[in-house]
Amino acid sequence: MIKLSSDPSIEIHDMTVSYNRKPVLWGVDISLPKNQIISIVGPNGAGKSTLLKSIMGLIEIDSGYIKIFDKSLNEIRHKVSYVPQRESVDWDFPASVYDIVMMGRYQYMGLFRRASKKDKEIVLDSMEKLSIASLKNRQISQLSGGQQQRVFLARALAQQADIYFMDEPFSAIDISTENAIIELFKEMVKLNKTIIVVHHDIYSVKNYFDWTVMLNMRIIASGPTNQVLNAENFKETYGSHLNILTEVSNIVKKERIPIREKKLYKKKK
Amino acid sequence: MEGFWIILVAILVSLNNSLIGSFLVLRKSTMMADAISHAVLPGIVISYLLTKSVSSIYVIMGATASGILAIFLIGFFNKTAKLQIDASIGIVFTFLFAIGVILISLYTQKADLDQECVLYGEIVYIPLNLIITKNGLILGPKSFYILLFILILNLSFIIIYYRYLHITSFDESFASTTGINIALWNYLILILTALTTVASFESVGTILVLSFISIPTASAYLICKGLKSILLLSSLLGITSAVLGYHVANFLNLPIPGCMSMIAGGVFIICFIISKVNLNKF
Repeated sequence: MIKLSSDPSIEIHDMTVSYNRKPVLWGVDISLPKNQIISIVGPNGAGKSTLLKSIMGLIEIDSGYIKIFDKSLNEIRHKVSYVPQRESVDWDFPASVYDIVMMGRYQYMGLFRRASKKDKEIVLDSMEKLSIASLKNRQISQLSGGQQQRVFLARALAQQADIYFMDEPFSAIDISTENAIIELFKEMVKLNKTIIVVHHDIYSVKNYFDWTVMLNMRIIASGPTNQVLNAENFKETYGSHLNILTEVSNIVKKERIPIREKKLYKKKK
Repeated sequence: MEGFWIILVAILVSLNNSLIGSFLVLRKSTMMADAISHAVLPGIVISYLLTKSVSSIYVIMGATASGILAIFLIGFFNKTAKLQIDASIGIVFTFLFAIGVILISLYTQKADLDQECVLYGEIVYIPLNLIITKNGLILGPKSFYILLFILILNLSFIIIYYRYLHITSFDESFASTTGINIALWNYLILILTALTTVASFESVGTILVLSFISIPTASAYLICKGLKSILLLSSLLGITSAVLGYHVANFLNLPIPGCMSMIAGGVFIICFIISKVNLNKF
């Protein structure tokens, strides 16, 4: 079941993405609502992170288009915030917690403007919301995994965006912190923010998220959580380990079947 | 007076290399500097063969061109051929370096361009290559002015684009989502690395340049808390090693660049011990 939203925060049409000539996402066609907490779930290798990275322009897409608030990413970058996976950076980098959260303000500060009183207040406020204000001057190399994750979330808050894309924000976080962060998300939604989270714990989806996208190389289901969480969708998402699309992907790569319609189009010109 | 110029040139070499080296170490691309410093060899030889002069501006241009060629070749093998970055580096720089070595032994046997000079540097001869005005005024060694120019370039680049460099060095994907072109900044840093290495090879040789790039920064990295303090301390440690190294070399009658690198190594060991004893960083 793929339910479309009439007033979407993000709209993806017919998007195909591949890694190293091997398609990992097929014909993604979804529109997600505004002001909700949305989860993207699916097994390992289902393309959850790839979906976020494509939306954030970190991976080139082969076909289709993505619109955020009916605009392209470049037009509204300052309204969009991205929380990468915690493991994607080197936490031995010489910086304090404050330094990293302040990076969330760089977009507003440009190259030369010094951090204003307002920037500093926003940074402190973001750290307080994630209860890491006491770690302000701590070296990031001395943080636990859960604290690192909260630094990333605080940096995202400091960006003061309207839509947040988070890749596994609950990894390495204990259950009480997880609850506190979900409460924080709920408050953000009240302030008209939209939060899209790649999530791996299928058991907590029902309690945490208003809307759920179930993904396994293609969209299995997208809709209000209580409507999409059913046995049939589960079976289709997590069921067979090696589904037919994986096999097709392998064939596409092996036979060198063209997947980049854009490049073909250019050649014809 | 000659000692004065040698020390001054050595200080400029270490400053340039420490500054650009700080970013290379943090971006884990120190070996790119090694690759570039070796890959400049064919450029040096070819422009020498064309102009018959070791110290002309064309040699610098040729060297920079082949350094930049190496950067793009490594990027090409890494991205397009999906070869790991260290393998790409290994293939490209040894290949270019070999071309340089072969060209030297083929064409330049009777000339004053020898492998030793390019590989190990001749900082002692720096004061001999002077800029003299038409009315006989001696302005000082050519290398001094070239290095000074590169230092101004490096410094203004780092000061103006500090925030971009900071954010892209820590978290590339986040930086990219805020609209910063990651590939562009990566290439700009590497191009500055190429210019720095080219300006330095005459003094300290293409092999020891890497020690000027990596050792002061690595030492500072062990005991510093932030990027700004790393930039400052690595510059300071670089200058210290250059000055001390020069005096030790003079005193013991040893090659100057080698002594500078050795002192830098000693400083690194001291910093390592400090970092183990004192856990409060600066």
